[in-house]
Amino acid sequence: MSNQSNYKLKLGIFVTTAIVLFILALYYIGSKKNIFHTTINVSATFNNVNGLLSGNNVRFNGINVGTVSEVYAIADTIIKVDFTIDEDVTQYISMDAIISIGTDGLLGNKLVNIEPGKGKGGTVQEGSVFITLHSLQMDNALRTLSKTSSNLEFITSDLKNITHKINNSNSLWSLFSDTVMAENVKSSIVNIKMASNSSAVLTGNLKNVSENIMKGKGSIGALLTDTTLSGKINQVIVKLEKVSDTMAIIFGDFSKISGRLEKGQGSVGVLLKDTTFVHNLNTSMNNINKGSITLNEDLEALKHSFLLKRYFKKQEKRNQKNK
Amino acid sequence: MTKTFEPLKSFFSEVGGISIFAGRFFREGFLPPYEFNELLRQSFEIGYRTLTLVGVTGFIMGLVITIQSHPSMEAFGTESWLPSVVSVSLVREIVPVITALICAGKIGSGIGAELGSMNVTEQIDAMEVSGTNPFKYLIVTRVIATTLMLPILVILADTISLYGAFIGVNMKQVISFNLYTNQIFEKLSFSDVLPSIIKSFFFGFGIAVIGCYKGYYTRNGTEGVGRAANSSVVVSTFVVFIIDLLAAQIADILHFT
Repeated sequence: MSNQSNYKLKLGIFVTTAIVLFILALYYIGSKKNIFHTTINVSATFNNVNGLLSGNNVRFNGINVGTVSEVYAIADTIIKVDFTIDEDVTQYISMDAIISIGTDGLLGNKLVNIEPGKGKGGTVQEGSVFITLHSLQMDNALRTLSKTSSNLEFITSDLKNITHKINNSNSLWSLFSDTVMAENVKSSIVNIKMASNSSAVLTGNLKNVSENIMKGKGSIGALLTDTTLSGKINQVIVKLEKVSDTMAIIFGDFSKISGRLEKGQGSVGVLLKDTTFVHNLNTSMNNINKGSITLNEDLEALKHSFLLKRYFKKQEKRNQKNK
Repeated sequence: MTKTFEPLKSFFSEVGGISIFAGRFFREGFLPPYEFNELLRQSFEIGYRTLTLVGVTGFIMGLVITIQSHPSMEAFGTESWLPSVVSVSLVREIVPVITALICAGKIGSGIGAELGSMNVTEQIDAMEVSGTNPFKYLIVTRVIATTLMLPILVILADTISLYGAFIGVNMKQVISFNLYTNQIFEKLSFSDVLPSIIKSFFFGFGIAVIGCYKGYYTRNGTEGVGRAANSSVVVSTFVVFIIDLLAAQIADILHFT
């Protein structure tokens, strides 16, 4: 009897242990799939779900918060994905959260990613429908990667040529090993440093000058900043414009006159153009010149005549008194 | 011509005999009187006494599969997936099948030899004469006990093999037990655990029915007992693989993959 109860005890422990382990395993698996949590049902629409299946995980900032419950087509280009979210995290997920389809690792299972939005639109509720993003398509990514690697190949090839040329360049290596050159470079750098210091001072001065100009100090400043002066200058310029217009008219008239003189029109033109008249005038002038010399001699003779001699003496005396 | 078809005829006769035997089990198994004490005793003999063998085998399988998988996983740079991959393969396939094969060897041969020797020594006839239904007492209890105990052995072997795998993973890298359990339960799903447990019921049933059939119909004295034990192991091993194939197909059809 004792032996019989002993094996029953052992059998009981054996069976109970197995059942407990089985229940624990089911519980752990269920808890990982959020089966024993209170969840809410939400959905999102996509153009392409890239092989997403019911049972795939839903992640919010990298944490598993639910599972995909159903994937089905509602139009020719729209696929609706229903999924559950653990009720505890709904307070952190706003309606402007961005939903996308991602991959667990590089080649892992597909999953639904929830990225937090800006907190607008209120928190998610039962039956909410999210905005979605186009998922990363592996073939597109690989195509880009192929292009990048091709470019990289060219770059490395060029780099190889450059390094080869550098390695084979004796002049470059001798340049590097030349100590005199190094000293020269060093002194050049010192000079450049000094020059840069001087230029810094110069720019400082220039800055002051420009500041003074801006403040209206000095002639240039006044010129640039005095608004009344600019008004006056404007008036002067207007007057100058008028004067220049008048001058233009005058010069136009002069041009007409000179044109007429050239053509011999008018009295003066006739006088200037008539050569006979000029000759006669020349002769007359000679005669007048000769006549005036003769007249001078006659007047000098009159001064010494007895009739006018007394008058000239009186005039001489008056002049002497005035002095 | 007759000799050419003899093995085929023998095969179909065997299949037919086993089917009728299984049918008789369902016909008599659910009708009173019930032999509870014998059922418990058989459960103890079949389940508890096989635990050590199954446990050690499961531990070794977990350890070995992990060590063998490590180089391949390392080559792909997916060492961190080792717990997940090993746990899924152990729970889904390796542990149920290995446990069933061990049970086919130990329990199948044990039942075949025990019932065969009882048959050749006319103990079964004696039971019938004494008014006890030998089919109920000997066959139904063993079939039910094996059918119930094999899933329990599989659950325990799963646990032990996963612990073996933990040690195997820690031989190549350092991983905490907490992280290990998190990783395995992250990847395991009901579709991994439930089909493996359900198919182990069928493994147990198949092993027990074949062992009992071979033992119950043993002929030709002690020589027949040895042959019954041997053929029960061979046939039940083959049946385990057939059931496994069917289970995989059905699980695939029902999307349990």
